[in-house]
Amino acid sequence: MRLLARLTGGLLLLVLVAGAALAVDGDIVFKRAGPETSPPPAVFPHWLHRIRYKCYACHPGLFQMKAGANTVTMEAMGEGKSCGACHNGGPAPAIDIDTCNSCHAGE
Amino acid sequence: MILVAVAGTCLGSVLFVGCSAETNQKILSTFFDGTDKPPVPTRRVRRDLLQEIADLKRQLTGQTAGGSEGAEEAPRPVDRAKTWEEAAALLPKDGDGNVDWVRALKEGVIAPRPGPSRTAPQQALVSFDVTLVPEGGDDFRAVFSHEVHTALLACSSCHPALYQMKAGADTITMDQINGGESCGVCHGTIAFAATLCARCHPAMAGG
Repeated sequence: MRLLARLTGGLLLLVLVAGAALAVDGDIVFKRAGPETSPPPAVFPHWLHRIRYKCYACHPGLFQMKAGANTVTMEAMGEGKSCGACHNGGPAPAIDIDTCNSCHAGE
Repeated sequence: MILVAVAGTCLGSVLFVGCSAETNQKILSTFFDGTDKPPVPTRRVRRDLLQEIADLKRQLTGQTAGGSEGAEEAPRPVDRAKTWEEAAALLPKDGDGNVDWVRALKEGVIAPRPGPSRTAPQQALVSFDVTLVPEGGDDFRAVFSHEVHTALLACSSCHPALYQMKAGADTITMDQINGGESCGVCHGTIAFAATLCARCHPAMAGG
């Protein structure tokens, strides 16, 4: 009985962890160009952005409206392009070594 | 004597008419007591006036861009959401149970900004509808609202890659849409799916 309870608890925990890592509606999980596996791929919460900004705030100026058509690199962000156009400590939080997990939350 | 008086009056009136309101007041107050002094535009008044002009301009821009939006408005409950689950619970849903973004915007549940800064310009709304009547009959006519689309999207999002900018120049079929082309590039992916017939085909409402 105790074993069963432990097993159930373990399974529940697994489901919860997997659920937390899964992307929700509108999320874009970026595919890596290289073979690295760490840090995990970045997840872009598209619809959380959609609440705050009109489509034309980013499209097509910063990003083409086609999945996979945009190459997003940390270098570009550092130069104020791509996500770095807003995530620079101005309108949105800056990208730095303390905030990696904010975006790199994929599986 | 009379001539001198007449000449003086004429000269005075010429001077008087030809002067600014400020100088008029100065001349009048030399001869008469109790002449009201014009309000001197202090820095504070000027700042208030400038603020008023800026407010009016902002209101005007807000009206042009669709009414319920205002750059200085307090954050909405949905803006405070940290996760999508929190936000989704506050947003109106369509018949498929997905977020109805058009209603959310119209009802002011969301007030998305046109750009990263608060002063980013709103894009002008294009207000004409395009009514597409298929050969099959009027029952299946579809109405495309430019206004709804330009409230969020740039012209270049659709033109000319998806549609030529000429009425009747593009053929649109449900097969294309269901295959992810034409309207289906967005509708069925980031916008409501083609299963909600009446949102485009008004005659199909309730059917």
